[in-house]
Amino acid sequence: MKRYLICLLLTVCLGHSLYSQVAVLKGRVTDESGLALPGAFVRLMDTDYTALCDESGSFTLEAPAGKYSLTVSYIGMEPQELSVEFPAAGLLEIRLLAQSLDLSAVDVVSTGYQQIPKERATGSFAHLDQELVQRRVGANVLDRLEDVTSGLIFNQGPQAANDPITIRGRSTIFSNSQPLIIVDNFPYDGPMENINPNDVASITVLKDAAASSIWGARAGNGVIVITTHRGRESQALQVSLNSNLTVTEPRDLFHIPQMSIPDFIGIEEQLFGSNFYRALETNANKPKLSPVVETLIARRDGKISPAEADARIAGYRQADIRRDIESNYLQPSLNQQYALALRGRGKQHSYHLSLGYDQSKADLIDNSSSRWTMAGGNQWKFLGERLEAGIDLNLARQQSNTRTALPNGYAYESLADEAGNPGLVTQLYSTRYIESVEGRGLLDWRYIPLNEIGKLDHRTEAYDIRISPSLKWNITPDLGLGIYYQYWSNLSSGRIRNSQELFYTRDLINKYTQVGTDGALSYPVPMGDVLDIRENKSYSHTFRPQLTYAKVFGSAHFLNVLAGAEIKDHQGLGFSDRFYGYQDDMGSSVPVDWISRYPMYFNPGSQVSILSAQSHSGTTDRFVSYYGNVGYDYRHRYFLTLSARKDQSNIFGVEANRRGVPLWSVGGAWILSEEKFLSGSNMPFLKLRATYGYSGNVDKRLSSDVTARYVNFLFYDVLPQMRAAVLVNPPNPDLRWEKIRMSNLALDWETQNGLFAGSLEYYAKHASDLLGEYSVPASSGQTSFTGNFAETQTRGIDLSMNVRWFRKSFGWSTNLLLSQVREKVLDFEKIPTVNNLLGTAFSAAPQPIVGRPLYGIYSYHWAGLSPDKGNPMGYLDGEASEDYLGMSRAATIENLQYHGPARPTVFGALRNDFSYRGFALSVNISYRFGYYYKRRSIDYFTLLRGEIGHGDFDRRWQEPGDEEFTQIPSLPATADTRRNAFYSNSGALIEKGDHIRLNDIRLSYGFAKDRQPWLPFRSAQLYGYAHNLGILWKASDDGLDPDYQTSKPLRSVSFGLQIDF
Amino acid sequence: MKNIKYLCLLLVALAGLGSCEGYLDEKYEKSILVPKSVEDVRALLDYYTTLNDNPLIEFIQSDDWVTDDANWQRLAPWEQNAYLWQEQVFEPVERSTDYSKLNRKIFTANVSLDVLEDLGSSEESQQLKGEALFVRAMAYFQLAQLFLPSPMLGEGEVKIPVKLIAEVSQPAQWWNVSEVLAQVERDLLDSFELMPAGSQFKNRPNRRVVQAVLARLFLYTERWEEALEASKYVLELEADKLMDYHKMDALAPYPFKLFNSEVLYYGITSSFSVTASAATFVNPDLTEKYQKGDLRTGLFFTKGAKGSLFKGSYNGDYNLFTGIALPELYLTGAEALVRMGRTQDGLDLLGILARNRYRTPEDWELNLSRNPLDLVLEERQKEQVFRGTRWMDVKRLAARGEMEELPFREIGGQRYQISEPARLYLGVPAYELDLEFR
Repeated sequence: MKRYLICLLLTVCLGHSLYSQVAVLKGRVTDESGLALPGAFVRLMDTDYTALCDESGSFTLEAPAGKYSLTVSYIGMEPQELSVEFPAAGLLEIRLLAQSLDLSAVDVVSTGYQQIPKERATGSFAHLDQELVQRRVGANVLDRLEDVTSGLIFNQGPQAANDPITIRGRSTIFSNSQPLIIVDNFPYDGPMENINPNDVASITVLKDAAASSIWGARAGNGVIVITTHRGRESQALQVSLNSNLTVTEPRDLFHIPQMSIPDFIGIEEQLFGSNFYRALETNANKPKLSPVVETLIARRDGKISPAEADARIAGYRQADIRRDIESNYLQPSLNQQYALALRGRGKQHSYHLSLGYDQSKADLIDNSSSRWTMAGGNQWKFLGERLEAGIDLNLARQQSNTRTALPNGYAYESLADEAGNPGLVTQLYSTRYIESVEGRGLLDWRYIPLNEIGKLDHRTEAYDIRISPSLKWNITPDLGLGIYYQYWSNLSSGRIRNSQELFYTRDLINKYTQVGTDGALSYPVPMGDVLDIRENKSYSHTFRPQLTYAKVFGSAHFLNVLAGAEIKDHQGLGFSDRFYGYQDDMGSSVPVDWISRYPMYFNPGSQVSILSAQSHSGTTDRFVSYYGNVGYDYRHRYFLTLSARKDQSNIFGVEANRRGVPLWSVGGAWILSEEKFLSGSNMPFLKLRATYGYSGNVDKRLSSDVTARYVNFLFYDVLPQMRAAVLVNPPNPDLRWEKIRMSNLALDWETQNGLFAGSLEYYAKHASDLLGEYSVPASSGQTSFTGNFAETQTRGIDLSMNVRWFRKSFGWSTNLLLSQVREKVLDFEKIPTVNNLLGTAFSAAPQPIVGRPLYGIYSYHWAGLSPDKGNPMGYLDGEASEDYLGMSRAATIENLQYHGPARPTVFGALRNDFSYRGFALSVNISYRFGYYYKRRSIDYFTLLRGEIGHGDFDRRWQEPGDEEFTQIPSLPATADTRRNAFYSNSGALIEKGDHIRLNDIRLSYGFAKDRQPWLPFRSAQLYGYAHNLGILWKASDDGLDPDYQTSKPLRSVSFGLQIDF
Repeated sequence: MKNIKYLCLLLVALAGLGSCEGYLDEKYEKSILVPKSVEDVRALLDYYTTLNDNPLIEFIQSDDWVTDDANWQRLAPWEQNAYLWQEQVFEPVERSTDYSKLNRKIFTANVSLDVLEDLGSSEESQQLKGEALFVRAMAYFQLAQLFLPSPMLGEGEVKIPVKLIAEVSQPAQWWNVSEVLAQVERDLLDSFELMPAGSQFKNRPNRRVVQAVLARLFLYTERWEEALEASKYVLELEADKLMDYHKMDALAPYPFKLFNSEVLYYGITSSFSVTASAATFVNPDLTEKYQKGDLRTGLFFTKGAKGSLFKGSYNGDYNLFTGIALPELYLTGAEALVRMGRTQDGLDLLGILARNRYRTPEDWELNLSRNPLDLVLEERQKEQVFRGTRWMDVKRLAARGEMEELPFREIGGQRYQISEPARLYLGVPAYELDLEFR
């Protein structure tokens, strides 16, 4: 076998007729420091003569003698164009300059396995470079994706907690719906909070099969690849420092409108008059009653005079607990962030080290959290670059401290009296009862919130470690073998100590207190603090040998092969425990009897055992995978990619041959602008690409065997000591992986000088074998069965456009992101009930109906208010009706009103970036269209059970004629669940969610040595950032933000300084 | 060529990775298990929050209780229908939690029996087999009482789905009441053979419990002699276990203790809307029947403003005790004796119970002049109040034509009478039928 150590390329294009006139040009391409740039692409303009540089950066071009214009390009480098003459003597040295950040970089996308120049990619990638990643300020790295990533949306509303991020629609029903997150080439198992955004160099989001099939069975929801800084990006030692401060407004307790307190007191008085509270007053559990009701009881029983009662109630009318909470508990929250990074590179060795410290003070006083992060790494080259070794180490420590909790009480209770002394707030038991047991030797049973400020001792702490050594052996210039390994471990612990200074603990001791026959008190829950301990440990090992092969054949063929295997073992172990009678200064606790059932002090009829709060958990997640990827590049014009992966996992009790799933994809791209027929047009870059393939998803909770789960009984169960198990899963021998077929078709373009660039992608996802639940006859012993049978389809468009209006001393560019998603359930047997459907608006569970999206908004048709009584009306047999029972009986899935999807179907953002000298201004506007949501309103049923209601009460129907102005029903005489349920599920409360929001503004000023020679450092940037600035337009008249119905999107302002030494 | 060689070598090495035997056999979650040992079955059969939890609809349909219009309005639609003995109780789109619950017990029993099949015939596995058979028998007996007509009204065309194997995908067989009850009897008799004499915890059945349920079954099928035998079996072993109501504290919020000496087998019926409600009143027609000197009046009831509330649960709280307790065996034995013509023996047996229930012997003896059958039936109703057996009694007495007056309810000024005896069963919910025959 010949050694191709010198120039690798190239020969003349085959079929060239003038072979005899061929001349040769040799050259070498390096960066500024003289390091070779293997893979740099050399080309003679307007010809087919091209070459790729070899390991030493050298190239050889053969072409007919003559004058040419030669272009050299390399990822991350400024392309160069120079005139050459064939033949030429000697070696042409070409030095490429690193691309500065404010120019459009030739993006490199990372799949987590390899870096691909975007030019060569066939798949769908959304790429965020460092500038975009650092545009936003904050401690969480994933937030940086919001509204700057095409096709990716942050879900709001009831789904947000379980399902925060969706990439190109949801392609699963019950399984994990979150994208796979890769950090530095390995799937990341820890909490995202442990990644410091300042360490992040770029983020790539993989959206289609070609991009994600390499990640196989877990990539069905998309993949987010996070790449952190490495030493190789700089040369001499480079030190940078970033520090910022963010101030966020405190939560808004007045966000959800609340009915006026005098009105509410009126309702309580009315309820008291109708003896509503009588049953509660005499209830054996001594339940709490509101201060107004207690006052009315005292007046009725002659304990206080009518005048005294009126005076008290007049006082309550003026009070508002939210005001007291605001002034005593809330403050703007404060986040401080410091990051220091060192990077450098020598000839054989590169290194980086970064430190980060984040500290935040919550909006609730005395509560804080902090984070330390450390990332370090070294890369060496040995044996003349034939062996590369590296090791990376990442550490994070996260801590939070809660010392104060928000108090709860009746709407008009005061936390302090007029003199400012801490006041009593009703809690659990009636004031009458608490007063009646005073002097009986119990602990103080009163709840005084202000006295508990700063008294909590709740702490959590987590350590996260990642160590990843790697070794790469370049066996030949073409063939390399890499061995990669990652160890990850996370230890988290929580300690909740509730001292006897807290109502919580005193109540626990009091209610278990036993009275002996002689009247002596004994304490099954001993005196002292209650301590809860929780500990979780998890770790994973990932091992990945990988072979790479890259070779240029002839003058035009470039083959890039990657094959490897990965084995992963992820284990988690956790437990929790509780100690009573704990004394913190001595570290001792007292054993208690977990089994005996004790009559409660306040109600001997109720018997419970002492809550043990002990639990154990353990998980094992294992994967064995094989993967391969082939990229073929012909003339830098036609590209073909193939990738395949097989994943096997420890799905419980599944036959060995069903554990795995083979997934594959194929993609192609064609750079049309390289074709002769387009050369010379004013479209220097035009590329068409398409992919097709599969990725997957799995739900490991299921099994093909009958499975049972050991259960812990609760303290109110009669035999807490029993070890019992419950059947959780009927056998399902046909269990298999979910499969998602994706196709993607895209066009990328860029006009002269990058004036107008963009890409338009159309995709279709067809998810089959989705796990879904369907009903089975109860006689089988189950009511539903989970199996692979659902099918969904998602189609959509992602458009991303960039226009550079000006790029001189004044710069202005506009970036538009537009995504459209159409989701549809194709097959799903389980019929949701009408109530399930009506409930979706506030619940996070998808309710699949064939032909509709997974999340939809449904309601009863609304026929307005009845003119005589202001009753809500719907339709029964086509007529306006007040027969709520009849309407609910007649309701079917078909006759409910379907408004539309509950999630935005069109969304995106418009970002404008301006620059003038050192100043830069970036304004991002986001928008969401094509969806519906349900508004909250007055709930008369709970109001007439004595709970304060929604502010809509003030705008309710009160007299005939009001139905012209309001849709809010009248106050009914008695609590009527059906009337209430009808109204709350009616179309009257459904709103269009469409809106446009001013998301954020960033303003910065950059100092640089070439502008300010006096600078003691290389460059610096002073920046300010404001987030959640408000809604610019919305379709509905609802006073609240469509996406933030229950809590306000909090505005924040940040200031920071970034210095590069 | 060299490259290819390396490539091959590496691929061989990689292929070796996957062959680690057992690496992928590890289970994903620790708390998950595939039941396969005696301990696992023990744990399955100790899941008392399901296995000892009894249907609510039995109680709703009984004439033990009444409620007012306002509270009836607050009930779930199926509860409203059941309360008024409507023909169609469940909405077309509704599943019955009670129906599903009973079938779930059967499934647990069938799975347990499956697992035990492979576990040999150790003493413990035999006992567990007995427990599983008992659980299945009890559940089918309850299904028969709810969803099938009285067995004394002929074979009948009415059928319910029955499954004696755990396979979910296997369709059910459809059996009528005599077939179902014959299976119940078979399972109980088999279970008796395998069962220990006593059990450590009252959520587990034993031989006495099996005989107690057999006594119920024979009473329901009017096999008086066998009912008597089964009752006697229990009574002989539990003779000293009756609680003396004279010693109970009528002022206590809940006078009886959980797992008291009369409890043979734990059972609970709990519902927020019915059993825990302060508007679930004891039927005033029934409270009237308790005469002077009856200690149960004070121990079972508290007078509320709108009616009597029940506080006599053997669970010691507001949940209904619907397990099996000793007094039922006295009543079953006495009824069987009276029906067999051994009136005096019957009244003597009843007398033992009465001694512990009436203030003085005289208070009881006043009753003895009454028709013995009426007396024993009335005592049964008064003793077993709010214990979930009344619906069975209503059904069998109605079938025999022994109800003085068929129970009725009044809601919204309208009077609702119980259906004719042959219609005293709930149809299998339409939703289920739809799934069965899909």
